[in-house]
Amino acid sequence: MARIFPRWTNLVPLALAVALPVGAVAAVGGAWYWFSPKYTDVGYQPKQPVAFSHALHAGRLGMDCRYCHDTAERSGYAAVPSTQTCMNCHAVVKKDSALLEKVRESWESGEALRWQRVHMLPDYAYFNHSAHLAAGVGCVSCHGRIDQMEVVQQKEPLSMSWCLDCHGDPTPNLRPRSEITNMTWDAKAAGYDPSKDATRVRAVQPPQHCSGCHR
Amino acid sequence: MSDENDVVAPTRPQYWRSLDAAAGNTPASRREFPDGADVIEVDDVTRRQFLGIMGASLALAGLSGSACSAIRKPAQEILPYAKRPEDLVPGMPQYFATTAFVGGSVLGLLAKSQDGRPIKVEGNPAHPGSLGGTNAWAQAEVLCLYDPDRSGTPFHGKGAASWDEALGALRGAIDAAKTAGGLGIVMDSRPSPTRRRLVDSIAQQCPGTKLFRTDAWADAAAREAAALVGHAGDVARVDLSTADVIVAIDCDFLGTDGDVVRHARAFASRRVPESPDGARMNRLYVVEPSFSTTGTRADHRLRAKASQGVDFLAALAAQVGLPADAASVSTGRTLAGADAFVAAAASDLKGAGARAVVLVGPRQPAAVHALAALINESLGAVGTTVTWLPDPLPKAQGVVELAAALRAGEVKTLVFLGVNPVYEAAPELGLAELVKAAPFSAHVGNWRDETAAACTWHLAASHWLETWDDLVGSDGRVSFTQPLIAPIHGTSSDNEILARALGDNSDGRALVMATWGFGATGPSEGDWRTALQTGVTSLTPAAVAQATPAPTAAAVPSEAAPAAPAATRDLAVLSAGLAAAAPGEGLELNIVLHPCLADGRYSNNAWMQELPDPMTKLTWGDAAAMSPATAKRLGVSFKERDPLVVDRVTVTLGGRSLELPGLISPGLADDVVVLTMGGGRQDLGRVAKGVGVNACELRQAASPWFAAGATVARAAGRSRLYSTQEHGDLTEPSVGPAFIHPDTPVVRGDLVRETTIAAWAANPQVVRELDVIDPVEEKSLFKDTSPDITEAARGQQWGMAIDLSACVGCNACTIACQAENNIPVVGAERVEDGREMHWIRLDRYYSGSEEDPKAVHQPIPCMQCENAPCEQVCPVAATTHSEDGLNDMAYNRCIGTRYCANNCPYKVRRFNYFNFAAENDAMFRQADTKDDQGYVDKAFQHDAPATLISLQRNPDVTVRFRGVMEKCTYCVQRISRARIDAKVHGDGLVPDGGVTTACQQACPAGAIVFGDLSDTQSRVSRVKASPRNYRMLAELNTQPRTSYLARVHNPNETLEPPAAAPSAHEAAGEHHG
Repeated sequence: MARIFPRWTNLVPLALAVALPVGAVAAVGGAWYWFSPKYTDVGYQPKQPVAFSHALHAGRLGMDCRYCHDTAERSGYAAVPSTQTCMNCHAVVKKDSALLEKVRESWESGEALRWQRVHMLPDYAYFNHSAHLAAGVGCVSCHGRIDQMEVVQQKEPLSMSWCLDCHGDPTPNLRPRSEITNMTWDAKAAGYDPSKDATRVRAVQPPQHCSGCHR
Repeated sequence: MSDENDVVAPTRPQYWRSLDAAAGNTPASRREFPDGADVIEVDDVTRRQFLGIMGASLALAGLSGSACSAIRKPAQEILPYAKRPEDLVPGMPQYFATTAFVGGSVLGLLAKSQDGRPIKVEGNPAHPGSLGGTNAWAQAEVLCLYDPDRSGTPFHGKGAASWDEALGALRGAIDAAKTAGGLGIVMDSRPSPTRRRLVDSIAQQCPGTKLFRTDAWADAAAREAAALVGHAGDVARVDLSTADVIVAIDCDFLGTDGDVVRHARAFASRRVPESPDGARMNRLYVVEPSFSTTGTRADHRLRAKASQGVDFLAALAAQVGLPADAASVSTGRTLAGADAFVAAAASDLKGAGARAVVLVGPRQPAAVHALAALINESLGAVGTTVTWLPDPLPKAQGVVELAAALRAGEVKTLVFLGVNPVYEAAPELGLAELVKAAPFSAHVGNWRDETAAACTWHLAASHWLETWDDLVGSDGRVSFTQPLIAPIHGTSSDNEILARALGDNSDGRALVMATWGFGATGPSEGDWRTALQTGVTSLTPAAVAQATPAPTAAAVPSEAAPAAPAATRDLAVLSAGLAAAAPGEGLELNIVLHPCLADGRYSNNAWMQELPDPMTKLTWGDAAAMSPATAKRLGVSFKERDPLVVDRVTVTLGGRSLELPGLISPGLADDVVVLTMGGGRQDLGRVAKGVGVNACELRQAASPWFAAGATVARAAGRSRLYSTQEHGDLTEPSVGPAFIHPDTPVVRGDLVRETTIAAWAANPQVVRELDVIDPVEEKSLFKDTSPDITEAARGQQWGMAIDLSACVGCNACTIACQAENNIPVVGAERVEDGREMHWIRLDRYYSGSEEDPKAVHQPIPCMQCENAPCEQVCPVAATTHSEDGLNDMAYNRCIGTRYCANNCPYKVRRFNYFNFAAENDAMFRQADTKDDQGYVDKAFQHDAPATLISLQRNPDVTVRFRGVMEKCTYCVQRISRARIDAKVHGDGLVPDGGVTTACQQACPAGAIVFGDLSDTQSRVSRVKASPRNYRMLAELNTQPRTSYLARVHNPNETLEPPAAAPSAHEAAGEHHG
């Protein structure tokens, strides 16, 4: 009887027995990382219409975040500043800089600057800046060291599991409300314990049910 | 069913929802998910194939390109303001006080603006016309604002024209009339002093100017009657909060007729027996031909033809008495067969004296209004329930006089302001031809409607959310309309257009300020800002005269000047009017305002088309309604086992006939056929096109609202009505114990509960005794599933109570919810399949005989069960319980199994079978090509309106996609906003009253109370502590957070002796046996 399969095919079951689990683990593990926001979203750094440097303004010049993002404590949105906010200074400072050409155009025409969104949540997730700032979560906890970024990029995955990590145990991310915009404040170094903070009128109880964020 | 009938005590009415069900048939209601419900042809691809294709394309997308580019969310831009307006905080809504003329009533409103878009209106609690409530019409106005079919440009004939051309033509015509005369101005009843000032100014400059008023709320009869009884130039203001006894004749004062919001609040305040006012419960007698929502609230209701109203009133007058100087007024007739009713009403009226009122509806002739005014005077009600106030409207004539003036050539130049008489007027007047024949005619309005089509010019007017205006409320005080948005289509208000015609180029704001002399001769600029901020003023129209020099008497044409108050009564005219108002023989045709479409101004509003009529539950189309006995006599019937497929009938009156579906409607007077306005719009817009028929084609000029001598004959064929009558049937045996074991007899506590004030006073437990099981027996099958609401550490626990004793069945809650929660419209064909999406529905139950039933409405939102059956069957945990007691729905997790809806005993879950929210989805454009197969989807025949309609959407609520289950959330977005606000500014606890749900806020009657149950002092906790409080289907142990308070009636014992039958408790006891 002629052999249908050559002799080396005897190794196929063995090879499969090794390759399939390895392949499956690699596929699941790969998807676990490469399909997750840790890979797809972290590091997202779109080109912005104006070469605005947070490292200069928030870092070296030491401007408070809330000078520009002035609605962060009042609204769900930490509004991207209007052109007028830029011109408050740049009508005087560096008023002829070529880098500010588009800002001056916007100021004169009234047309909005078209910034690229960096931190993007899906439409069905209703994040609220004011609630987080009132609880004493610092800007740096979600946005990273903005004061060191020439061009803003996403530092955290902003995924649901990442949100829930903090909603389950917020204490490590809490700080006194006076230090909210401080990029270098360190809870460990400061020895901060929110439960002993006399300025807090209530315990932080982040919602963990669906409608806390989804409506 | 028969078992239950045997043990039912007379105090426990049997409830039924349709005649078919009352006849003992299992409702032909199809299953909740009918066969083929999930199949629709998309380019000849079925849904199943479609999903297959979709799956394949997703897989391919994953293979091609890198994972990052395929999975990374699409790039988005952020466009901040170049110069952000002061006080505007992105993401935070702004509220502006404004005032609108809606449904014949001036309502003070708070309009919500999100990023510059008005998206919702609420009542202004400080305004006496709304008292914080609204009605369905006011709620629907935001959709009218964004309607892509609303007129945006002037038209000359059939072609678009420029504003310069149109305004130039109008100004030229007015200039010509200054010498030639012959100007006629036809207006609606909007009581705007600024418009009146401008119209007066035109009338002063154009000799012989005639004013006409033709809209449905013109109340010409009441104004004529005021003159007959010595109150010429006045209008009567009725205050129901002081009325102990109300007799309403053909007057739907809680539904369509005039100040319904204010009346609903006042009426309801006297129907809640726990409150100090409600303890002195009022008593309502209603005499009416149709079955209105006001009729459902009657303690005693008499079915009578509209034309018999005069005889009823005459009989009442004979017993109550008339003022001495008018004692001779009589018809000499009485209403046969109503002696006991008349005697009871008369004795109650006399007993209440000054605290009683007789109301007559606007459809009734002047003589009947006058007779009612005399009865009120004789009761001493003037000064308590009735107040005479100066009429804010100029004296004007009606549509009959308009036609006569046109025919006689007295009016050659016509200007229509916000009215549509060509659609509404009796065809015998031939108004369309007369208007077309007029040398100059201009129509100013929101729509290119039938009148606009007949005019040479059409000038698109702004919506009231885009205009400045001033309106005189029913209390005689003015409040201002301020724009929330610049005119979307670049239109002007009718005030501005009138001013342009006079050569005045001021904007609307300057025109209004000039009327009152703000900052000049009148109040200060500061007063103006205060008036805009609060939405109320203490100004009355008398202040206009001081601010602007009044036209001298000689220069004013007689028609425009208010007549000098007549010192005496015109009893001869009154007696002649009463004699002429004799009831006619034979079948009587009644035309009534549509409870949703009104006079047709909401015909192109998809929310209103799909809103079920509170009584007939019809959507998308209308029918000729008649009582079961009349239908039987006329041979009108419906298809066996499918009561929504009805005979078509031909209604004929005065030589004209109209063919439409015939509807058998319980509770109508016999020998009456009732038609609603608002249908048969061919060219108004894409939503209204082809829906229903125009009842006004049968109008008689002499008696526009009802006329005897109609005939109804069966026409060929049958047609389907789109009704929600059988949807969400909670009495199905599949719900409840029988579901657990098929042999378990279905024994159920009454879904709606009613009692009388006497029975309740004698035994406050009368409502709770209807529970099938005692509260102590309510044991959970599941351990620790219900949150312990007394445990303060768990935070606030939300709950709702709905008082059926206050609810007037007006539908405001349904539309408020639709506006707040981005609820889509599905179209007629989908309603037939039971797919309407309303999160709060209004169940209407009849009880008693088919001919003369009582009815009760019950709003049904999600019950937010603590032990929710829906949560237990969701395979993906898309619906779960929140720690504050809400039954959450995570749309993005839902995979559309619909198990939850199947398991919901209250039938409150709604499934997005299709991508309803995306109106211009290609799927629905298929509808146009399938017309010949009867496959018409009226709501979705828009071409590309999505960008405009989507401006209405509430950004705080997810717009749901296809395949997702949704339901009432207790307005969780409002709870979240209040909770975040409390966390930012306070101790994290929302104060009582800090959250109002959309339905609660809209409710004109204040029937819905919402709040924190863990706080025993909160309003909702106190309301729920009433022994009237009961939980629907409590025996299923769902532990619903929404509970109801039983309706309490206040019958007259001579008409309805208290039941001497076994008590309800004994009856309930037999159920167990």
